[in-house]
Amino acid sequence: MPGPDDHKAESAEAAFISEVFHSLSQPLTALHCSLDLALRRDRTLKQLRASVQTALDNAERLRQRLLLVRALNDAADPGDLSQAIDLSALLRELAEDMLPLFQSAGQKLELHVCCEPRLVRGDSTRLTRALFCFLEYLFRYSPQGALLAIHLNHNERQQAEIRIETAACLPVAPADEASASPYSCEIEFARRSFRAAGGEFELLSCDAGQSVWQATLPLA
Amino acid sequence: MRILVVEDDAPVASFVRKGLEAEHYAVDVAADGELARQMALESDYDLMVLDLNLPKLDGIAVLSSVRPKKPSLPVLVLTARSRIEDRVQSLDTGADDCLIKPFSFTELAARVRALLRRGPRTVETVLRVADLELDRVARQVKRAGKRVELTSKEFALLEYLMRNAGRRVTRAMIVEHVWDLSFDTSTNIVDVYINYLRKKIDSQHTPHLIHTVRGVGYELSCHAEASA
Repeated sequence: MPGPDDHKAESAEAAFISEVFHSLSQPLTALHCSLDLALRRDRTLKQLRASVQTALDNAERLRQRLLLVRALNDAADPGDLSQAIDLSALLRELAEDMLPLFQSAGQKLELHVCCEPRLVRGDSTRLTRALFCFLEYLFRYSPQGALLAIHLNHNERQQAEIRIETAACLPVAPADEASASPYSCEIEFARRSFRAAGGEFELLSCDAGQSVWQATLPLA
Repeated sequence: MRILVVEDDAPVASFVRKGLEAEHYAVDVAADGELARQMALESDYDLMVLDLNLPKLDGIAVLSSVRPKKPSLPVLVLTARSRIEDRVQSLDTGADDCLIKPFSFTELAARVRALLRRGPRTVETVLRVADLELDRVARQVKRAGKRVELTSKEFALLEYLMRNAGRRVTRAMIVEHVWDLSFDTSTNIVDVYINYLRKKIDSQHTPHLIHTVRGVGYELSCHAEASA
């Protein structure tokens, strides 16, 4: 008999497939329509070129989304979880790296590190990729002037906690509540990458004023 | 320039062939691994574009047998997998670059050009383009003799552009080499960093060295304008 967890997993999977279908069908429809238009006999050369350009733009959108879907699939492969990672150093480097991106959109990025050093066990490459993609996602969907705060701490379960707070409710939903609000391939990619890196990732709260996300990794 | 395209999917092979021929390369196509190995070993090619998933002999096996006998043949691998390990395995086996399918022809052409124009690996300590100098050991940058302060990522980006001076590099190539992310994130972090670099390197000087190549990426050169 399938249990409640199986139902949740199936529901999340169905929502994910539906989202992927939607995300691919939009550019494909636009591509199809542009080519249809291009083939009409009454088109001027200028109109023909415009239709082909639109088709090309949509082919590129489709390519980008296909790459994301495949990256999602590949992100689930577990990495080398035996590495000891200096999480505070990794976060500092990443925050310094991404600060110009946030500043370019008038957003603020703050990092608060408590109790160094913070060595965790996991896959460094996958962890960096997960954090980069998640921060990039937050940058893309946060309004101008938004503050993004990253807090690094530890809990009593021998885990490092990365808490990420944004002063905005972003269009995302955790996997088990996928039907409740628009689903995001980017968030699913980050979630899978965190798992493959040896950690867990969840949305703690999301309301009109703030979204709070938390990633946990085992201390080394 | 003669290029061997190894691809078993006929429509993809055809579009790559036509595209490269339009760029004035001579192109031969091999549709399976055994034929590819034979052609690569018996003829002199300037570059091999190699799909990994091939009938008879897979791409990694082709690469393993060709690389020891043709150490200077540039190889661009096409792969349908975006896993870090697949990319690492290809590069470890001797590929010079990897491109994940589906790709645009613009991206493929940029990488082919970069590989064909690549000389022996850069070992100089100091890279120079016009009056711009980058010391890789001292980690110092100077423009017209004046020191320019760069962050570590800006330094890495400038070093990559200078190592490829005179060649177009795509955003995906930059993300892979400078950020070490082996997949397309559609990020605009590259454009943001290029703007920062321009302010520090170019804004007070002529000629401007960092050029936008529309629809492709960027080029660092002392020409007045990079062709679009």
